[in-house]
Amino acid sequence: VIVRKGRSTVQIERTQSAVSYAILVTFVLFVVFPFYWMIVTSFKGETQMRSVVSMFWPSPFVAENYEHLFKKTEFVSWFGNSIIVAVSSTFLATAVGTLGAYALARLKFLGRAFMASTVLITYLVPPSILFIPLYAQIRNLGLADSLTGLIAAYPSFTVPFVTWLLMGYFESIPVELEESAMIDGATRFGAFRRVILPLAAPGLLASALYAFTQAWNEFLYALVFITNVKLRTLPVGLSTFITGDVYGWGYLMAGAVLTTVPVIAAYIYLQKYMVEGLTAGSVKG
Amino acid sequence: MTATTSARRQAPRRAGRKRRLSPGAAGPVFIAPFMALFLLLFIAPLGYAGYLSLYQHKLIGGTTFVGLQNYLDAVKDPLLIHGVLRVALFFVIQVPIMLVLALLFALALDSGLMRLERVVRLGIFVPYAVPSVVATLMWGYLYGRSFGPFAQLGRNLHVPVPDFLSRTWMLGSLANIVTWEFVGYNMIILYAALRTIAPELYEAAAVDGATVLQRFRHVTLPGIRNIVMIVLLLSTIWTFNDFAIIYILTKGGPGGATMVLPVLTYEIAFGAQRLGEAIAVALYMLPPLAFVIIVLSNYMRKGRTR
Repeated sequence: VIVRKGRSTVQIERTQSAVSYAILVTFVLFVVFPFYWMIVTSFKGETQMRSVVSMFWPSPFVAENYEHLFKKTEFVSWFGNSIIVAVSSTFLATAVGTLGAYALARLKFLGRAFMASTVLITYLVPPSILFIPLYAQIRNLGLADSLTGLIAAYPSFTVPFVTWLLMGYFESIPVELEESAMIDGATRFGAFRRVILPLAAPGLLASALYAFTQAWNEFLYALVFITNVKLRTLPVGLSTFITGDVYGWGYLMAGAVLTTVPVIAAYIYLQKYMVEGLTAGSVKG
Repeated sequence: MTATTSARRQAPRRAGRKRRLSPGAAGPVFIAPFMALFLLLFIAPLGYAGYLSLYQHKLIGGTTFVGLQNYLDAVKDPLLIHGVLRVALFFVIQVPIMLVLALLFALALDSGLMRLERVVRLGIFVPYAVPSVVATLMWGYLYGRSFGPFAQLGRNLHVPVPDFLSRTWMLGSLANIVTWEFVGYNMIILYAALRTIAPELYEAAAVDGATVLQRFRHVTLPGIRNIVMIVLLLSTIWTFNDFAIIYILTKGGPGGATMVLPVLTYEIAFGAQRLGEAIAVALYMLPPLAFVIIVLSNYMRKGRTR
């Protein structure tokens, strides 16, 4: 259908696109400026931070904030702890979530509909309601103040999300593919492993990365469960930098940069899958 | 193993079909790990917490059964009424504002400026991917009275800059961080929904002489209604349950001016060491939360099956 455009329509469209442009540019600036400021600050020397000389660019460019971070704080241990906790809970979440999602998307069993609702509801229950009960339980099991306690608790938010996300992926794979594999003699598990898993690989990747990010960023459980300074994870460790020390902004921002790099790198590298994954996680197109 | 496989191969086709239709143990086996985690991480802790909420622990006298005393004590806390309720009212305004902003950005993105789409998409996910702690620290620095760039610039140019961390500005400053973190996520979901609306509908409306606003009301809105509800409810849950931002920036202060329930329960449990009362406060949160979650999960299931 060709719509004949009058002069006024063209003008309206031009105004519209100018307005859209302005809105988006403002938004991008709003989003980007704090990052810019964080990175610039992490390379500024202490004297420069107190003045407005070359406010928006480090002069001179110094690495002292990063040196301070590595040599005078527990940052390196915290980084290691965060890696251990996030990687372990990602593996756990992906394994449990994949199996569960497959069962809920494909297999028939008693209580299936109930379990499918449970997955969604547990995904939506916020940690703020669960953290005291979980703390009491973890303490009872003797796992308080250990990384194991965190690894045990993090599936409470990673597993429901991974399961919910992958249910959608599995449902979108035609059921005939497994059926023909099973006619050819494959067992249920064989069909799942050799036919379904490879097809769901992008979904698995997205949900694993998402689980990793969630575990990496988690603050509340890590704050409550861990008291030993050496066992802190990055978010909690960073948050302890602000108490009292007014001149700590330089190395605080350096720590923030290094904490952010792994997640942002993952998101940028796998942008396509992440966008799809996140969109599918809440709604489907 | 080989024997059974070849036996299955030789079995008549009909038997194979029957086996597929009755998957037998596969379902329960595949779902068992999830079930175990659900029982260990949700049912057991919540049940145990319910039990703990009936007890009080004192240095002298030890742990005693107090019945519903913790629930009665919890509502007497002045921070609950003057702090939490006031802040909750503020968030009731903040959530729709965030939605309107996200929708505005999504519409701008959908309006056909494709050259910018990739850049904007990239920019959008970044705040969402960043830990709340980092987001709070970044903004906390920007807000700062002595070293924040706005305050520094203001001093040098002799322009009065408001103290973003004062009682008057604090809620707005917090809302700004929440918006910065989540508006992009909301926007991308809304944008995905906008893309599903058939262009023919807009063309037909244009042929019929519909104005921009009419097209928005009669074509765009009905097409994204379900997703708007999801975004609204999801933002409500996130905003009301955020802990890190407020804990790091204000700890609920000054004087309870920014107190929210998660921070209050944390302070009661680990500051005042009254675990039972903290659980009681958290359990008061459960009915409204359960209501929002059930409504939201219905919308989300609808989105899936469509």
